[in-house]
Amino acid sequence: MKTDELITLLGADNDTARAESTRMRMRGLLLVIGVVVTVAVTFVGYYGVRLDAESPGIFAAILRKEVITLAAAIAGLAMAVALSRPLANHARWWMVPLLLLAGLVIWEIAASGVAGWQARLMGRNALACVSFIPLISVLPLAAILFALRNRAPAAPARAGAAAGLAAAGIGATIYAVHCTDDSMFFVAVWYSVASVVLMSAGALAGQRLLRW
Amino acid sequence: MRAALAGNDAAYRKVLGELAIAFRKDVAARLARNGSGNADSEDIVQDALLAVHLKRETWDTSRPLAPWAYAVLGHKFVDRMRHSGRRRHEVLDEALEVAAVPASDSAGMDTDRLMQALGPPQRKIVTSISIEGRSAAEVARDIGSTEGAVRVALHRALKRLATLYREVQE
Repeated sequence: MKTDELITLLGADNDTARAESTRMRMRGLLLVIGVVVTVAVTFVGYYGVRLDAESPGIFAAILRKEVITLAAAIAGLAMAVALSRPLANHARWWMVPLLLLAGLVIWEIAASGVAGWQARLMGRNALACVSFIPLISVLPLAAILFALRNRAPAAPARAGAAAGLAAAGIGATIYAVHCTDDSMFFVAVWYSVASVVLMSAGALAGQRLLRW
Repeated sequence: MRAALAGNDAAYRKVLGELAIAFRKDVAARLARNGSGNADSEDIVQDALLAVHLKRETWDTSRPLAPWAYAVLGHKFVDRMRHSGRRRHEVLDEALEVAAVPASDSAGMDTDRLMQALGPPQRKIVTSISIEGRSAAEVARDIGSTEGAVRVALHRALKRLATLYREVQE
């Protein structure tokens, strides 16, 4: 095919391409929201919120965890979108959840000292945490990657990793209402481990799926 | 380009034409630097134009067009170069077997390959629009379909073309 012929075709496709862009963006957004809500409802429906959630001390502890996990989810999503463009860019949103986490760890040391830090770090349910969060996050990760398929990342693996961070944040946000380990030391270690697992999976998947 | 994206088809074709020229120069320069042949250069230009078209929503319209467009071209070029090494080996092996080495189609993607991948109605639509210069409405009347259906078929054909370019590299 001659290039001029191709250009004629592309010109004829101008309107359709424009409509498609909008439609795909909407579809992607709805898919992600739908999957996240479904997964959240399923998990909380099956495993329930922790029984002591209403006591004020525990409620505050859950809130602290949720602030970080939500920050991670939003940072991940913002980065995934920013990184899915051809122009190489260095999205730095990940600093927000990291700084929040560091801040809250410092706060906990200030409030409760460091006595018994090993116990607080190990917690009682490290294995459940590290297993559950990736499990909960798998479908959201798939949905996010699927929604990004129409984009054009300069570095597909990096965009995939950002999607992994977003999925980890989402999964951790859902899990945190059930998780009974409240120490920020625990969160700093085990939620991060789960995030790294998801970011690696996201990078590997992104490398393959987000090619253009 | 912003006018083009807002719906001005003529402006769009003009921008694409200018991009084609710029891309061709850029590819030639890159190939010269790499010391490779020119056989695939029009392929890369077409691949990049197609990507500009299909991935247009990744362009931030508040920023200049050129850096984004060249980034698209660069990405396609690197992709192509990464895989052409493999193809060169295959070509060498064939030559050693005293088989005729097929000349690359320097006019871009082999039209036959594309047409084979499309069904007959899509083929007619693509040919009518690109070569005969008919509009989507006219083609719709010709084949007894609606303009909307023709536009959808065209868009699918273009996405298929993009996939074919990717397959060439594998």
